[in-house]
Amino acid sequence: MFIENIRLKNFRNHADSYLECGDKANIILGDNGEGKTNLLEAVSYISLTKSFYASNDSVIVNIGETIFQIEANMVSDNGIKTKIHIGYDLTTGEKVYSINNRRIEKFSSVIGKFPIVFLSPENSNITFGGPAERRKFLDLVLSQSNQTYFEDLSEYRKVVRHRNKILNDAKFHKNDPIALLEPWNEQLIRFGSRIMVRRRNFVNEFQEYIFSAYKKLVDLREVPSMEYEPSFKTGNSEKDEMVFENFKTEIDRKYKEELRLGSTLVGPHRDEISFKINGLELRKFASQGQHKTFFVALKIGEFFYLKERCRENPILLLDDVFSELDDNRAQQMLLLIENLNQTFITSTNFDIFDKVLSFGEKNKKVIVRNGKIAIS
Amino acid sequence: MLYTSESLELLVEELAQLPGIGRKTAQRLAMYIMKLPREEVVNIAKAMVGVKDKVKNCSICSNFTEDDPCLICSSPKRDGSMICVVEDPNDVIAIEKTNEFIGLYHVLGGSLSPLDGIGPEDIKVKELLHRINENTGEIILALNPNVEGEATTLYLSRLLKPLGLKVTRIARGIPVGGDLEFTDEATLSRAIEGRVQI
Ligand SMILES: Nc1ncnc2c1ncn2[C@@H]1O[C@H](COP(=O)(O)OP(=O)(O)O)[C@@H](O)[C@H]1O
Ligand SMILES: [Mg+2]
Ligand SMILES: [Zn+2]
Repeated sequence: MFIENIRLKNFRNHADSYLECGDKANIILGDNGEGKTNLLEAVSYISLTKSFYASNDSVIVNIGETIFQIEANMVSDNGIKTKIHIGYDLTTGEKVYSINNRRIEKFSSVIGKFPIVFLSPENSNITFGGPAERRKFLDLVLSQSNQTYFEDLSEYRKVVRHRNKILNDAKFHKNDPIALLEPWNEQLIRFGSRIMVRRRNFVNEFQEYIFSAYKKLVDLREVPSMEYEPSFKTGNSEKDEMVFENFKTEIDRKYKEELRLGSTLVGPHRDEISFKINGLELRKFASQGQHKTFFVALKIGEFFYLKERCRENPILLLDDVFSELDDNRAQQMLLLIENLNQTFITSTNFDIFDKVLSFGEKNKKVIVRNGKIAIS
Repeated sequence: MLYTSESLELLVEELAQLPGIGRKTAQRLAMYIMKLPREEVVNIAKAMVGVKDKVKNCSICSNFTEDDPCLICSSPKRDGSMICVVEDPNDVIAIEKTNEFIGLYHVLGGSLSPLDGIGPEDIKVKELLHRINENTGEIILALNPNVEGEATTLYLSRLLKPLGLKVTRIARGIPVGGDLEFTDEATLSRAIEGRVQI
């Protein structure tokens, strides 16, 4: 998959920007605050039908305007062209996503059609940060590769919020809400165990993807691995029903504690996924360099995993990744991604790219300034 | 921008209160109303006040009605042994359009939603239990396919099953005219999950 061209109208600070994209590297240069990340956000919006950053579409509309639009022409790996049009109207809250002029009813059906892999320095929290960061990583990969997962996850999150409300009210009023909770318990277990089974399977499958990506980056005395650590013992049997059964038992067992704390303590929203090198936990024992390598390996793994699952080469979005690297590492990185697929790279450093890339049809270089794109 | 006429501004403001209508649409509607003959406008206003004054909830099924009990509840042609439970009056209209269902309805007036502070006592659950008698054979739960509708279905089925009634729910699945090939994954997987023996 690649983007042939993209037009933004009143998307963030881009009043009217048009970019004819190269099908390999697209270098987006500019000082801080000029609108580079906003451009990547628009690309990710096509893929995810919503923003990475904003939970509310209204903040995306160019201040003082009422409607933002994205138009893009996508080309699949086997050459099929797709026309995308997205529009959001702040005054009515109406959002339209259409593919080839046909309005999409269910946005979730778009997820995974135009896979993306996103890298930014904040992203490196995946290895440094708490379990929520790793769950987010898993959720984004799994959602793009499996629509049912995406829907189960949004239903599950709603169920947890409703359930927490009941538990919290009960804590406050000191009553026993069991009759009210039961319909939510049933759904918590139903959606939750489906999510857990998929995450467990994913962690197993993904091992080899990290392994082979890691191998490309460093020598193999370091063996990377990944472990799924759910909030309760699921039993390592292959039987998916066991997760369901154990979930039920655990909900009963934790009931008193949930009442005391007023929130849901069991389920995939409490999962941990630990990363290891030679069996030692990355978070506790690894060096900065090992963190970086592991992170890049995860992202390359993600690329190949999505490529296989979505049967389409993902588009890579690299935000500010190069501003942090020295010339040597930057070159290494460029060579690594050059052969993968179309890539959008933002940077404040104007010089590093000319040494490695030749610009023309395949590789483009533009400058973003105050929400306007100029060909460099 | 505000209008220089206070009454026009007031109309726009009132219209903009309606669900799904933003200020721009409200302005367009107000302009349209301005251009209508006076009688037309009076008719619209009368219709609005009319529903407020005349329409009430049926004392049996809670559906909107002008006569109590409503036309469906008082019809001798309907099969009183079946009660179809729905969230709101629009659902009754939708099911009636199919001409498939000859039983009675029960309109809950919403679904369980703890986050919105809606519990069993805020929807017509008590009224449902109250109207069940020895004639009642089957309760069909036809709530919306979301987590709130599902919670309501589960909650009601737990209350109703001990009463020795047949409790059923409508199936979720692939829309008619929908091609299996083009059905989205999630709908398809739910349909497979809810498969029935033939
Ligand atoms: N809704 C919006 N309308 C207008 N400008 C916006 C909006 N949202 C963000 N901006 C502006 O966009 C700029 C940040 O753009 P960004 O793409 O993050 O910059 P960078 O080039 O550093 O990546 C800021 O100047 C911010 O004020
Ligand atoms: Mg930026
Ligand atoms: Zn009635």
